[in-house]
Amino acid sequence: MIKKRILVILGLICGLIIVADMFLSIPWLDEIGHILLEGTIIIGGMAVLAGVINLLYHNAERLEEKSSRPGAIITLICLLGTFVMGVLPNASTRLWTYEYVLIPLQSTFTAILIFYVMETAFLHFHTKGIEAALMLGTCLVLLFIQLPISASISPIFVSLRQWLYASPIAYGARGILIGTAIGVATSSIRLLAGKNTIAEAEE
Amino acid sequence: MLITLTTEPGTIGLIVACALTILVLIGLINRKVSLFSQHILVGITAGYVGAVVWRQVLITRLALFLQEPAAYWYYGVFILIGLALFVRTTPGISGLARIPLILLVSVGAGLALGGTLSGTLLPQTEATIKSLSPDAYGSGLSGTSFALDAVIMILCTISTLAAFHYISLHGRGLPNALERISSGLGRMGKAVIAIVLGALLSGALLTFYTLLLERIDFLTVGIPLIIEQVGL
Amino acid sequence: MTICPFCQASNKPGAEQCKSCGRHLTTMQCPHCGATNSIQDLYCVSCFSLLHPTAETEKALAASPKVISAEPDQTEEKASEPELTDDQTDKQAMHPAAPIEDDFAQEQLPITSISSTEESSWPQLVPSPDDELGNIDDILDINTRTMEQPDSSAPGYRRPTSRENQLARLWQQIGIKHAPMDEGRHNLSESQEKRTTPRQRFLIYILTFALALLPFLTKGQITDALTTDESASGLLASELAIVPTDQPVLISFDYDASYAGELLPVAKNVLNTLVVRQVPVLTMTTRTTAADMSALVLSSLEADTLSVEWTDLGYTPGQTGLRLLAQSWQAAFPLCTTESTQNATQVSRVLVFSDSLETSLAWIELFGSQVDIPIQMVVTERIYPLLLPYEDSGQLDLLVSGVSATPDEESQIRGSDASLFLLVGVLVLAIWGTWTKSHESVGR
Repeated sequence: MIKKRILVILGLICGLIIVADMFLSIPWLDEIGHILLEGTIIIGGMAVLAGVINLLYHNAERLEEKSSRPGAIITLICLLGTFVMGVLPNASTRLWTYEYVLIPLQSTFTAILIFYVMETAFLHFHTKGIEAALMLGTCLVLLFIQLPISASISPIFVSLRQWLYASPIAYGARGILIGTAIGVATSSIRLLAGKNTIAEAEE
Repeated sequence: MLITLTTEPGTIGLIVACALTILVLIGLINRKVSLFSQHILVGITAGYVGAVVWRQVLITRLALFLQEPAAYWYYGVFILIGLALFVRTTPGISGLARIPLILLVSVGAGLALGGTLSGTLLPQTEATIKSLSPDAYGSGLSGTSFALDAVIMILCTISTLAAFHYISLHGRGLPNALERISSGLGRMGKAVIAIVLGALLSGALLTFYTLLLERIDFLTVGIPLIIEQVGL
Repeated sequence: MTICPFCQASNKPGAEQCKSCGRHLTTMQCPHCGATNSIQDLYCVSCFSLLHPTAETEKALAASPKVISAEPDQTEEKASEPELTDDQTDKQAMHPAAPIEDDFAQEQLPITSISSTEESSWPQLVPSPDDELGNIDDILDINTRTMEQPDSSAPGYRRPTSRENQLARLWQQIGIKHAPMDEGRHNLSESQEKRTTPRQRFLIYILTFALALLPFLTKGQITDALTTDESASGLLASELAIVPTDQPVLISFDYDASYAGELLPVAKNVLNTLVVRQVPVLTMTTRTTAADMSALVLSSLEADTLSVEWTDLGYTPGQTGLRLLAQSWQAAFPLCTTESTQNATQVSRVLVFSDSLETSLAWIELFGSQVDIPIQMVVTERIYPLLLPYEDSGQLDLLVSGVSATPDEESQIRGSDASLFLLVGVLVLAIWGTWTKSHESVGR
């Protein structure tokens, strides 16, 4: 069994090399960083493949249950069919699947989110509390001032839109991004220090 | 605008695309249909992603390794390490799977840390540091307006950060004055966050609404075309 | 006849789905972990949390006592309150004597404050000797306390097994002292309180669908489409007009099929403009589900414009791929060699079509911070506000959203009406929601 401490040290070294490589220009460091990144791409690819195989295995198991059999059959047929079409050298079948199956499916699944957003608008858009009112107000104002009709009422709406996006929204978003970046940096340092690395690996 | 009519589509393709679009829309009110379409989506997406990774990531590098093992020796090493992922459930050697996972996690963390520092934290902090003096921006109203904008920027950014800060430090026995400043800024920051969230919400509404319009547009053009091509 | 446990509607015997609310009558998802359970299960097979929370159990949990009698009292069971339904989501309205807040406040009481001598009609929780969790209380030194009382009048009710009792009680003990069960129950109550009724949901869906159909009927007659030079599409067009023709442009299609409706028309327009101007183009993607997007866009171009130099580099995976791209062309795309360029620094600009904040940030942080090349982005309206700071700081050369940059005149005209309808729709729903909320408050 590989010692956990060795794994933590290995992870720390790899992470530090990647970070150092971004700030320093040393040929041997570049070379090692380059190899590590290429390796991560390969391992990441194999992890995706392992996920697909896991899905395949899971659905094959579900074939034994009567209630979930139809769903499992559909998933298996679609998965295997698309995979085979995808790895074949002939690109036309792959493009056909992409254009006529994947795009309509994914696009419509995302499009129907508007129904759920509208349902949420009904549930939560009551002006209860100043922040909720502010959020609703901003949303409605932005929807209104981007209408051509608002510009014909008064050109001030065009300026208002530009100012809102250039000033409070951009600056507020900057605060959010900096706050998030601090969180990401802290989590990354914790991971590199081995605080959560093993737990992640165990997962 | 219409996606599917760009490549001389076959009638079968149009029929399939229209049928799938309608199927997903019906799924809104019928759970069985929704589940059916979800199974198709999961299968198709997983198969497609698997094929792309196989074709464009793994096979290309494996081929290079086999052609020139001396130049691309590390491809071979990492393919071997990656294979350890598949023994995760094998008793006795399951621990080997930790090696590729630790590499993935640590390189990911390194990229996130380096990228965040060099791409967001430093440049965005630098962009926040602006002079508050109107003279720095020129004379007259223009200079004053730029200075006012700088004040708004600093207030918005710092108060938003304070909102994060306030949440975590609230009630931890800070000195009164500090607590009051932190609380006031935090409240202002929450208001600024609410404005940003309002903008994000309007953006999400517009995006999803546009997608629905595009789908309906697709059906309104596609269905008559199918009828025409089939000769009904 | 089968009674739906959620809305109490009558259904045909053996029906799998409720004809009224559409929910499954044979299976249900755990509100805590999402695992699928049989409707007859009292506790989740995965996390062992209670699947059928009732007002009675909430009230009982707060006020009541513990355990250990023999069999449940059938008379009391029959008298137990019905389950919450979609139409009766407000627990306080049903049980004014047991407000939600009070439930939670009382749950925080120390376990020792609960009498162990009060009579109870609840199932016995004495572990069987062969149960592997038989002496878990001794191990964890947990005081004996009652488990939540199930609603035995619910359809398909069955008594929990000994093991289920043990595990549920264990979870509950943890929940009282710490967070998981407590938070789960709180969230559950909140979600129940804020759920729409099937009727409301149906009306909202009809309204939304009508909003999406109306622009096709009005065809821009309600509002005028005013596309000025200051609009985003104008900005993008003026940027494309000054792209040098002696250096290639790198275009990354980083949006998956989901957002093709918003970004694909813009992408086609951009590509067409560049190709007509004889600008060499390199295409790539960092998203697996967009691997064929460039081929799709290419196929939409006029055949006579394809004489221009065009190379599809293919797919490189996300963050890692972009970091490699900043270092070496060959590393990111091992099999792809281009004559015009040896690495990314030789392109005049990078144009990214993105639907994800993560991908956009990867471009800015891992590529833009390392290579001095202007990055221009066309993104979905959804993530547009969060990228504004990068345009302000100069890290992005140009930022436009797909909705505002759509090149299609018909879409623009229809879009102006559509935006108006969307605004009206959101306003109507907000007013309706507020009115319903205040109406419920008055009812209470």
